[in-house]
Amino acid sequence: MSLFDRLVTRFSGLESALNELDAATGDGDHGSTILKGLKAAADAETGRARFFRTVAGGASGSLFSRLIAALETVEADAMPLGAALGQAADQITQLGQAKVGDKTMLDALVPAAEAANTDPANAATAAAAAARKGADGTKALSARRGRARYVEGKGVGHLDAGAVSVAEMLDEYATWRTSA
Amino acid sequence: MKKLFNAADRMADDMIDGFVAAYAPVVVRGAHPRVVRRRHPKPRDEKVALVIGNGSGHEPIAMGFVGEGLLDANVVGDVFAAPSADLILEGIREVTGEAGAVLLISRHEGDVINGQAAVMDALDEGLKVRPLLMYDDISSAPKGEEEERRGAAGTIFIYKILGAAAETGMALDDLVALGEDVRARTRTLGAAIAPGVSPLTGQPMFALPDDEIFIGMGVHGEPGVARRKIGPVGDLVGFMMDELLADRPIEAGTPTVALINGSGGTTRMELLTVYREVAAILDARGVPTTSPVIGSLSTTQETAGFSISLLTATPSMLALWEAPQASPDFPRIYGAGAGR
Repeated sequence: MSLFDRLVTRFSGLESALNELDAATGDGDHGSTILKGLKAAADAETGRARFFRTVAGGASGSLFSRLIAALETVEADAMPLGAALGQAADQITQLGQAKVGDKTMLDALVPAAEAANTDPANAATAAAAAARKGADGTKALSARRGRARYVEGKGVGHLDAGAVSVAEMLDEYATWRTSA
Repeated sequence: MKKLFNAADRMADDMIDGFVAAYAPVVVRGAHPRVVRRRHPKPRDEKVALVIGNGSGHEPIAMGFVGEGLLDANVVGDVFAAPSADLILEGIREVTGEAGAVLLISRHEGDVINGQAAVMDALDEGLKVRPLLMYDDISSAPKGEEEERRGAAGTIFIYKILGAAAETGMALDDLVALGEDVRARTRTLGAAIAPGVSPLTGQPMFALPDDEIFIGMGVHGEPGVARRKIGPVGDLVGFMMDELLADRPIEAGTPTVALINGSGGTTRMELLTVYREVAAILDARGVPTTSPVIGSLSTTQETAGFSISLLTATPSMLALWEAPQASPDFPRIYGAGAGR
């Protein structure tokens, strides 16, 4: 199975859980948005990121399309994982004007890129573990960006749905990479 | 609440239909139905294009300011929703030539993310485009964190001054630098008196007791940051001007342009009264006022309220602010030399 077909399967199972996570601080459609985009990306021959963005729509579509582009690149072995994730993190930083600690997807993505660069031999599993740890850590954070910023309590006590999605995507990538 | 529209999912499209039909001599629909362009643009290899995308529901901004001496294209999103990156990219492609383009981005999360994503793609396609983030609302982030602030009605200074400068053939990098300078010299503070009704929900956008007003109002109907009891408008404007001048003091003798923007449900009678107070406060401080604009240019449906924007314009900025333009909805500006 291709990486993107696997991601579709995985996020089909996660859709409602991610929607619920998002509902705590946002409009509760994050899982559906990502799944919609992933299906379009999986159906595309090339330029998966653009299809993802168009179909997913909204700000999440623009932000996650940069990670999709990175996954498309490493799927084709066109760049080392750490470099690809680092580039995506830089672009997402510019788009969202966010940084690590703001309770966003970057809290999973930035440590994942660093872990992959530190341990290139086991880049995929190192990135997945770091992303998971980062996503778990968003529970304690108060939001400086994204929807949770406008919610009373700024989302403290809730995982950031975007960070969880990053962790899930990189976990699936690691599984695909080690099984391939 | 009653609203006049055909179907909820056609609101922006039906409005654009009316706009391009009414003002066909100066504007034209782009290749994409959500892009509105100047009908007679200057050659795109010689003039930098000015493009902005924004959610609809705030008219006349920004569609009404497409025309000679102002914007080259506006990308129109759904009601209160930033247009997608794809759509903004479409708008950029339609007007960008060798001279390049500036994408104006009023600093709201969706507009920034989708606008910057469109710029990244446009650069990948080899287009010469630079984003310019616009922010002026002092209630949205404290002094010292200006870059965190949201765009409000003071962004109109940037539209107009860059529009006039681009018309004279100013180069891309110089336009961005000029825009940053205007931004640095602009501050805005708003007040909401009563909520407008969202066309999406049919419900008032916020709740406010009859005798209270919000200071610091978001353009999407976000409630303000401070409350006050309603009283004489002079007291309210006095409070707001103190805040504005504490955030960015204006030295006596510095020519200052005031823009009094109505939010959609405030009368011209009220807006002129607000200007009376603003001008008197500046006059008492020895600050000369010139070339004001008073009107409902950036609205949130029928929200009652207004904002005060102040620009300490350099002489060249002032000339560009006063320069003629031919967009359907930008008001005429009466500078010191007007009427002679």
